[in-house]
Amino acid sequence: MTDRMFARLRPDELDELAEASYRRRRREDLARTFSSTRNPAPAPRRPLFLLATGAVAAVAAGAVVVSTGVLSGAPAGDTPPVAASSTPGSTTGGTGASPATRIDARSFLLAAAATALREPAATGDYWYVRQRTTHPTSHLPEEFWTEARKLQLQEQAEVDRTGAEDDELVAINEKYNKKLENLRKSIQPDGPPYRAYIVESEERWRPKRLGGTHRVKSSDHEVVFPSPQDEAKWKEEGSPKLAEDKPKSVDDNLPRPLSIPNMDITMQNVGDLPTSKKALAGRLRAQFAKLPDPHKEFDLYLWQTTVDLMTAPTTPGTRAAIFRILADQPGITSHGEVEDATGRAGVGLAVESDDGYEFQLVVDEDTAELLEYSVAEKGEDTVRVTFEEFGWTDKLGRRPQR
Amino acid sequence: MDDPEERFTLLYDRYYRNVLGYVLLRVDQGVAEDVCSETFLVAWRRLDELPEQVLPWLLGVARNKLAKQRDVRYRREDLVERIAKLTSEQEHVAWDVAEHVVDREQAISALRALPEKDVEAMILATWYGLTPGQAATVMGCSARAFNVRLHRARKRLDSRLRQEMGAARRPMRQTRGHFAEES
Repeated sequence: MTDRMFARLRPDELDELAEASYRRRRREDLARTFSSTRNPAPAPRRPLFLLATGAVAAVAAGAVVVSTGVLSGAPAGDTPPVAASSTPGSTTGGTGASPATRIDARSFLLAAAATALREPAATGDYWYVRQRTTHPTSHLPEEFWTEARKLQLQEQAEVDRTGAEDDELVAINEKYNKKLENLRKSIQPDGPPYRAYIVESEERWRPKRLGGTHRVKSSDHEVVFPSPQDEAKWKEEGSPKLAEDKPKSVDDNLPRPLSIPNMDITMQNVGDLPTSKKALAGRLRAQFAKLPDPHKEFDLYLWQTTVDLMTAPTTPGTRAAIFRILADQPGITSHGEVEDATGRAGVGLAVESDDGYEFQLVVDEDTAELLEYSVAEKGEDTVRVTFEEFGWTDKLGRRPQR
Repeated sequence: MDDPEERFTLLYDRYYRNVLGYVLLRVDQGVAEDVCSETFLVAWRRLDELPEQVLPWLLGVARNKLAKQRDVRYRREDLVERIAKLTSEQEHVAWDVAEHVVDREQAISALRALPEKDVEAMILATWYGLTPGQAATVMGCSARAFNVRLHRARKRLDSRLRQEMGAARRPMRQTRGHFAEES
């Protein structure tokens, strides 16, 4: 999960600068290169990639042992399928459904598998996704950052002095975390003075062809306050800027994975994923075993993978297989009928992590498409992503024709 | 496709931006462009011996070029400071869907506590999607050493983030579904 956060840290400016350099230097570089001589005598080729196989084995060996029987590929009996049902008292969505009419997760997922299979397979040059994200934001005053930077420099110096021994580093980290925490408390003793959320839209074109252009366009950055009091408090604090409001479009041609926990799944091979429950489950289980995250939980991995694959150009067969795998998970519960952020009706499915976070999916009952996912802590949203549209298109920058 | 000039042009068009992006994490744009040109010149000279996976190879050449420079212009900057510099100040929300909400500033501050080679390992694995074998080629170490580094980097970053998050966690008193009401 740390990887996903880290992936988002990549500065967009890198792509802008790289594109500018590429345009400026291409002609000159090519001309200069072609006027220089090539080395005609082939030197012995170094076996550069023979190490890869051993490396994977090393990761697997170092990983936490995963209990079997979690996934559907395991013999039936260990995981009573009846467990995949709704939890009492979780009929959110305001339908007031009685227990008798409440939709249970397993039946719904099996029906969704059948629906997914009916949807036609399509193809194109770019896979388009438009999504709307809502997440909390906050602002710490400049005095915090000035002090925090000082602490960070001190910490860096201490790390440099001590070397890179694991135990020492952890101890230094902890010491400075404590200092940062105290600093924060000294500036905002009761936590942030107001709550605010950013709502933003993102459109993404993923090229089917390796080396094709990938585009991310973000727009409509809007700050939303949950109550007038929050907004008043924000104004009282001098209305600090909370969101980057200029629209942004970034092109690049990096070979990016479609799914951070499944690095080997790409735009080129996502259409070849297994279409049977058993084969797909086996593949996912093997992948989970390889993940180096010390805090990994299978339910969360599966949830994350579902989000990634349901919003990618997987085949109807693979989508059906995902639903069947989910149907066998005892940890997945149903919230019954719910609405997504844009008011569309769907069925809410949830899984809870060990540290009390709830991960929800909203699936369209008629098309088995993923409408939304969200992460909540104690029933309160921390992030909500709504998929407004996805599909194939033949042109970069163009939306799919429906 | 046998024409060397055509082959090289394809290579250049496909990977120039990737290689430059990587070099930009160390030096300013003007210097980065020079390093990048030299890197592709090496590729031209060895066009017939290039490995199948050419991007890691190109990154490795660029990395060596950077390391061997004695010129003061080429002095490498701290990796995390470069990331921070390239990141615009206001763009402060980076979140992790399956985890917690994290400010970009907080995340970068967590990175500062990692040894530089650990950060580099994370970059090659997550920004470039390289396999351990490929990334080891770039960093000039064994795949085993790379894996140890990556594993340690993730562990440290994870614990660091958890602690930062604990410090940042804010009480939110809204009930489920308030996003729907706002829209």
